[in-house]
Amino acid sequence: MTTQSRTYTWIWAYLLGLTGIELILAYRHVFTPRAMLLVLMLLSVAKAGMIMNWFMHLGSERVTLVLTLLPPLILVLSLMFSIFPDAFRLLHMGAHG
Amino acid sequence: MNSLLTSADWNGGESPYAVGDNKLGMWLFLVSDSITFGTLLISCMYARTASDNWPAPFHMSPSIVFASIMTFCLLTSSLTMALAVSASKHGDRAGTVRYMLLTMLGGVAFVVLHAREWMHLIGEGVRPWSNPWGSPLFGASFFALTGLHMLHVITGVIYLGVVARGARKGTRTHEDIEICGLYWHFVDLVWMFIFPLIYLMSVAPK
Repeated sequence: MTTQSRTYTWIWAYLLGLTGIELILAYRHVFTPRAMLLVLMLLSVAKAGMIMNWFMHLGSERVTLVLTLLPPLILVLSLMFSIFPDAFRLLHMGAHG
Repeated sequence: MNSLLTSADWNGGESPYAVGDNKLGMWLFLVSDSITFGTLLISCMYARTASDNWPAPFHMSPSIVFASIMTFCLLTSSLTMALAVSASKHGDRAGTVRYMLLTMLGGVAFVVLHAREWMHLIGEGVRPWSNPWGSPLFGASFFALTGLHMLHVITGVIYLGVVARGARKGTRTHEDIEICGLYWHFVDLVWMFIFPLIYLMSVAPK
């Protein structure tokens, strides 16, 4: 087994481990939904980062490529959350979906 | 004095990203695809936040168990894809094809399990426009999100098959296999968001 294959296997094990933690949290209803969402998203972003860095080798690409791809994506996705206050407004109006 | 433009610039200049054009193209596609999935996920979360009757229908057995096995299949297929790219880097053509076939197997297992999960929910009366428990938007967002993801997995399996065939015959370069890997890892990455947001946030209370 080469060093690289061993790294991949470790990343795979970490990803499975994080998924396992998510499952236990969901099964035991540890958090309130709001806290759960935060924890799940943090774990998912960590998993996405591991996949991008080690499986997709983004970490070993030139920095210009990373800077071209990631910041605009994060900006666009963040901007979509600007509609969220409206969801709370609808909820308090008592509108049913 | 150095001239501002050199002959290299007139011939296309230097590659600013130091990746091939195919690979850059795949990365740009993946960014735009992330926005597609991001839009669907965020609009699903929006509908969920705005509804006071969002259903939480997923029991540990069978739905969450199924979804966990699906996650395992997809994660493992990502590992075999990474190993395929690694084998191709070392010029091991047989190993590349073997690992790519294993990756396809993982993808097919995922689709089969997911189709069963869909049939189970359809059997319980979930439709894109209605369901027995609450907000009808639940069915719409569930089928749209997981359906689009499943379409990506099916497309990915076909794509892998085409590239694996080329790899066996030696007509595909290492970069082709790497690009194929990028796509496959992306499909896995998106599932890392769909699984918690759709399934784990809607686990039925005990």
